[in-house]
Amino acid sequence: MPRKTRFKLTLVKERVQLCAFLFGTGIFYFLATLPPLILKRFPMPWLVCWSDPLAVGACPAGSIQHFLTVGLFPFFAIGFLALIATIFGRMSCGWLCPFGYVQDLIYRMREFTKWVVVALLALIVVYLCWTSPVFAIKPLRKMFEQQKYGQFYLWIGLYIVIFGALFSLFFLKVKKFTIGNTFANYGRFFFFLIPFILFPMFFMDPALGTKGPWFCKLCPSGTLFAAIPQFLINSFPRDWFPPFGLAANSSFIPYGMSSYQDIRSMGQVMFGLKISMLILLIWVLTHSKRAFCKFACPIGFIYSGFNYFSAVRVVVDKEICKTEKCNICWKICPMDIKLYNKGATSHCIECLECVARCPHKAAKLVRPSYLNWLFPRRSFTIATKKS
Amino acid sequence: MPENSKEVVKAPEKSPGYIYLIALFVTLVLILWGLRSGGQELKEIFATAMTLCLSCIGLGRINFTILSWIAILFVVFMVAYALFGGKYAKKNKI
Repeated sequence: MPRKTRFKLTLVKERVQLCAFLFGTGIFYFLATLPPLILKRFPMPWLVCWSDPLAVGACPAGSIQHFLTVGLFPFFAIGFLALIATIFGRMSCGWLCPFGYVQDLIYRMREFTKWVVVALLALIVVYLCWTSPVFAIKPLRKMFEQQKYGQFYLWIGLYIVIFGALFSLFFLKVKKFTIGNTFANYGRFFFFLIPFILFPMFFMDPALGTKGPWFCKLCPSGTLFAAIPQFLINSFPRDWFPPFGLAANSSFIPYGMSSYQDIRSMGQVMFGLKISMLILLIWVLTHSKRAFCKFACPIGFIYSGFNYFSAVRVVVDKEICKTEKCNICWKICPMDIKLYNKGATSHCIECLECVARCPHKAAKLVRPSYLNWLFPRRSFTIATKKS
Repeated sequence: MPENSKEVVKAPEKSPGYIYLIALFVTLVLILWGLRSGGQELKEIFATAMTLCLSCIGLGRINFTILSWIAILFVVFMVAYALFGGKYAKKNKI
């Protein structure tokens, strides 16, 4: 592959990721004129919270858990995800997932703009503690207004200890680390089996009064795309949010504003935990690529089983691969995998970085061999060990 | 890892074509089954997506018992990894 073409592929991928991010999260409102109420019926092929104020589709993880909580099998959601995975493998993780894109961005700009991210996070935390209880039973604002200065200073001290400990992680000098494939397998199997499948089927959620989606309670994507925007939007009068160029009688209402109520007072310990987990994850992401995708994402786990036979997949020709002597694939891989290693296939998100940049052209994108009957191509070989 | 060229032999690509076709058939059956009776499942997804998901946002009370169970099980999984997974990883050079 010519050099120019190689990097063109990376550029194309980044643009596709950006477009998918804007489409999936609706964060800049530019897709507001689409009828999202229709798209909300369909689970998207990526992890994005359906409580995101402007999310155009439903969350597949939320959909599956919801059906499990009501004792039904999610035929459509599973079938849809499986269809995408059968054709594209985990490609939607690498090319479309908004949370994956955020993880890529955090890792990529860890050196230059880490402090901007930390300052922004700190500002958000201060604002949330001021307007919402977070860990306390009242927001700091109310304590101050009611002149309960003892409580007020006590909680400021506690918040400084809790969030100070979390933010201090960013000041530590920690080397970049890789989450090993086996360790990652344990993590994602745990998160898939326990909070994603078993707990929604059997455990009641006191906040809902029914069985609950327990993975959502831990999900950092929900915190980033739903909890923080909902709390920020909810902090301002509804009049401050014009309909963004829509007609006054438009059926489109940014989600969450339609049921405008004071949700800030409801953000207590669980909310504080979610915020803390997000900060912790962001710190991990500044040192390890796509840690959440590798270690915890249940949608990625569902997709990964299809990587072995999907229509589009990446394989490595071990005959020409220089393995440890080269390791370019490992250095550029957003999932930190060595493509030639056993067990790497299920972690591959088919971003095609290795296909584009492998100096020996050992990594290749292939289609299933049955297509050879229709479209003849050079016979590709996968090396196998001698027994 | 030893020199690769000495250790490997050529072999035809494993043919996943028929697995792919079976998977495709199963997924289409699942989707069509989900769309039965006027797309009831889609309506269910829509109804849930349009409610403000308390769990996603992290609102409401916290159930420490269940979260503790999740944490305990997580530790058990990780201990299992330390005991068995580490050896597997070393053996397979992961």
